[in-house]
Amino acid sequence: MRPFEYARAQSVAEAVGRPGKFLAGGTTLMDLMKLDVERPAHLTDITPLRENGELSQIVEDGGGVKIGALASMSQTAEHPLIAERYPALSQALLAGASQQIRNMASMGGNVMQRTRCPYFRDLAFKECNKRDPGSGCGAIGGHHRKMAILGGSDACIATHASDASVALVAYGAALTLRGPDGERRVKLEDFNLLPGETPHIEHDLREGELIVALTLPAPIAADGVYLKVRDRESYEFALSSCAAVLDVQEGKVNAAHVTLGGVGTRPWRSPEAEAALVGQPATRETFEAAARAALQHAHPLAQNAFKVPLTARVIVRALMQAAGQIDEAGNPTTGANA
Amino acid sequence: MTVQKGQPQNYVGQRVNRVDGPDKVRGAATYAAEFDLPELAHAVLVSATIPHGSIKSIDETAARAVPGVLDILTHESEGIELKPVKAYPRGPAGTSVLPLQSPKIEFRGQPVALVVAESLEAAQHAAQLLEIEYDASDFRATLEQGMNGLPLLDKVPMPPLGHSRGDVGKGMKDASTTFEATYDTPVHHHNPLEMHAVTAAWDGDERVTIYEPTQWMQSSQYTLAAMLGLEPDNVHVISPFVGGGFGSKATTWPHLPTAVLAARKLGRPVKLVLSRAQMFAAVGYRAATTSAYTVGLDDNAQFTAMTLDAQTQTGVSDLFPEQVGNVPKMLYANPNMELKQTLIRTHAGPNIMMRAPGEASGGFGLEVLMDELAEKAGLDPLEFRRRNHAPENEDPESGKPYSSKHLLECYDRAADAFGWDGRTPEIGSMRDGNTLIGWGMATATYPVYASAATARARLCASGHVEIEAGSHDIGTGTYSILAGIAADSLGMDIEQIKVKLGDSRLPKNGYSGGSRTASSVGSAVLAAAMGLREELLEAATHDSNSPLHGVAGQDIKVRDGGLYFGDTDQGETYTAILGRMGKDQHEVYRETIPHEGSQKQLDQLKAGKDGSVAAVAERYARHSWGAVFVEVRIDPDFMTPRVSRIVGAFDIGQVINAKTAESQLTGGMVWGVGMALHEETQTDDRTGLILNSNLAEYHIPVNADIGSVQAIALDHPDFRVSALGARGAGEIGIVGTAAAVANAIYHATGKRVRETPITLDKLL
Repeated sequence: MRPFEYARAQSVAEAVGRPGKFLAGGTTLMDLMKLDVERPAHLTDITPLRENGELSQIVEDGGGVKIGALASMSQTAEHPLIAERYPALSQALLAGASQQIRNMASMGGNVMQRTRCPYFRDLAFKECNKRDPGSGCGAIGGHHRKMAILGGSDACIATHASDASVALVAYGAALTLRGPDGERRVKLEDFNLLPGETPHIEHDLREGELIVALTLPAPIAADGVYLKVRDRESYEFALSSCAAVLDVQEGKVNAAHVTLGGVGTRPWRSPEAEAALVGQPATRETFEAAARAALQHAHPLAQNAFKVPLTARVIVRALMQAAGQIDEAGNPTTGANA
Repeated sequence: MTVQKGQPQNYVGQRVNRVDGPDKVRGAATYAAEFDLPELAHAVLVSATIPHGSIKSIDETAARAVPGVLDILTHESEGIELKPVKAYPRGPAGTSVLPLQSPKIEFRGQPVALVVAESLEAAQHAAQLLEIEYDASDFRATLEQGMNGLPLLDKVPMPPLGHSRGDVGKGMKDASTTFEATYDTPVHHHNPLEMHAVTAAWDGDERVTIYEPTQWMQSSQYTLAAMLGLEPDNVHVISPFVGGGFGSKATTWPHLPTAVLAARKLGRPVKLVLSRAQMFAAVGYRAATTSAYTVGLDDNAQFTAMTLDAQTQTGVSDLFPEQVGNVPKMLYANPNMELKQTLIRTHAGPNIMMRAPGEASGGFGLEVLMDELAEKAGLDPLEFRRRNHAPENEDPESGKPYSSKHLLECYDRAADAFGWDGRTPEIGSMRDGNTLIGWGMATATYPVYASAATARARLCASGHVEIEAGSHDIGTGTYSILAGIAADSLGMDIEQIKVKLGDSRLPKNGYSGGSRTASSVGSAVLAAAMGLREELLEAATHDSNSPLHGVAGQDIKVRDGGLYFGDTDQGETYTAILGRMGKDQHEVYRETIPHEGSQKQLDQLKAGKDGSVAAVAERYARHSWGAVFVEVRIDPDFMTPRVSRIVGAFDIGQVINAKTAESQLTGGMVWGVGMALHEETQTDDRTGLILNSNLAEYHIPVNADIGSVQAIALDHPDFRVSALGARGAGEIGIVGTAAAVANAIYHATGKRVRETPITLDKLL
């Protein structure tokens, strides 16, 4: 690891505007610093703001909930306001990382989580536009089984790694960012940027800005599902996942939020799927149409082509589950009339 | 010598807790990287980032400017010459490629520099600042590239690995059905939890002490002695605890001499701990394999012939064969067999043994093949195997009788415990609602390697008995196993036994691999403990002051830390005998030659070699046996295979410690699940570099992946293998398990995947 200047901020005011990077749980940043991928000259440790409660409260906020940026993943997953009102978020948090990491990692840090693309994480690979703009993309012509099929560009197809962000986007989460010039709010789905020609610019985050809170509006439905498929049962990133929140009234979809994980270069909100659902009967046929709509612009390569049919199935299952028609194992629930 | 009948067996065969467990839990067990020596300097190894070529230049300016940097060793450094050594199996080194001796790079991750500093942080920082330029050359980094690429590297046919019997041409003509299939396994890396580490401290120019985790102290001792021109006795290896090895710590790798050279150059002790990524570099791996079979069956579904044409990967300079033919050449009755294996050189570096080398990889292909053949013959997979069972009196490979074989009982016991009778043969016919269920099985076998061994037993005035053996506890329970053997031999409480391992100055022992330590070193400990008992008995019965004076030896029993006439109170404690002998300690040293071995193995052991007898010995063919049954549950939409249940029954001879043996067997089966579903070292074809050199992306099973695992040990002692009747438990659990999983997946889905890992994309 390269030497850096370390400071501890005792208040938000003290932290905002500082150069370099903020250190919260450190589960991504320290890892990447050891790998020499991240090389901040200045590090401001904001964990005192977790300990003193300034940025770690989870509270009611109008009809929604406000999550302090330094609330831990495990604290958030288990909080009654989240577990009861935003079940897909709670499920997504618990489906990510390991208990130890969830205890350390913060919610603000989770949305800043960086990709697991091996070409990005290992300096021995010379090609990575995200790490070294203009150097090329090792994954496109190389190993890309886990890479994104949605939102990629000729410069980068790195998958966004977060589970929680997928559910947060599905619930319409926004970030409160405080900078030297004051506070602003950005919807999470806009905060994560598509790679385009500039995959090294990942977020709408300005110099010196600190994420202070995540706010969730009132959910459109009480039930929500986060369905994650992966190569092993735990401590593994998604090959494909779906957060689905459905408001079904008298057999018809009144409102729908569908977001995909493990397949996009950012948490992948699918307005196409949502449009295919709203106003339609809550049936398997409708859900299959939504899956087709979500994937119509997918650009798979040879090794990740399986993600297209897999994701279609993930979407259908998540929607059927969110509609209360099947259980987690895919068995019809009692009284279901799909 | 055998444990006498009628003596209490309080420990041997029982579930005995690890005697070193409390120390490990409290952090009081000192591992190699935890020895803190005065003036200790910290080293970081720098690994090559190309698979083939040479170092063009190294700019050390920025690295040397880091405060605290003491030295940087590269091939340009002076005073670090090493003499050549031979790689296993011809010598005890892991590779003959010497570190830092030339600018030539012949494998990815090859050590190219060592940075030494006052602190680990300074060494790490300086290592990042070292600017190395390479002249890159064409490479073949994978088995596939080696097989299909231009003849940049040679292919080496291995006649000694071939096996031929009968007349395959005739056998194929006699067949009513023939079948061909090819099975592939990828590169695996051992990844023990504890990283490779070494702390080296010189005493003058001729003596060096090495603290390191190793499965074979003599490999380090003799390899370093040869490289540095030292007397082997002047290389002192200390390795009391090993946090797993699985074969990677059996032989010596380049980081060891590199740290030793740095310590000599600096005149200070140097500590080097590899990073997890470096655990994927110059410390060996399980080679990728491809096994092409042709088989013939007669109308009775019995083999008429089998050919196996195998290609396996190896490094550029050494030849370590991943012996995929080990299992197919002997497991089933078959008069006509032809086996050949070709080694394909690659720039992936030297490969080495990894838990059941050849048996795990070769067993996968054979046992999936058996499932395919059973289906073709319209037979239950278990019935098909019974029909081709090789009789106890004739090993198909050698024609010799087996020392002991209870494979049919393994089939019965495991099938019963699993409930195999309830299996319906049709694909996808067993469901739990939406979930597909599949049942599969496979046979397991592992050869016996038995080594010459030595041990010392010492009675102390305190009443303790010290057992000394220059062997290793690689996490398998050696301390507890040896303590139990000594305690039963002497009729003592296990807490009165102190076992000392992991020091090259203790009585010499060989390599802790090939599932041999419990039976081989255990035999020497049995001999030493029984020898101590006999000498104390002799002293007592010849001493007129002893209550046992004149009592016949066969009437004396050991118990409560002493000798007693039958079941009476007439007798005395060992310490009372010792006191009258006028000594404060009494010790006995014993050397054991393995069954069917000779003085030759003992001489080899004393010369720093393996000292073992092969599985096919003079009179008997000696193997362990097993049967593994697996249930998988698969979501039909996502095709995520998950193993919900495993039952394995194993014929491994006498079980010495039922608890540690169970851990070995279940651990092996769990690893087999990982082999089937998860494990694969992935290589980037365009750079030849590894893509997943960390434990987040190199997948092994986590707890959530493993349902219930039941290991049944048959417990038939095999006294044709060892005095203890033990054969070995370390490796057989992984053999067959991966195939049983693959076969269960086929039963559930109808998808026949002939390679590992079986990930969902191969099933969709």
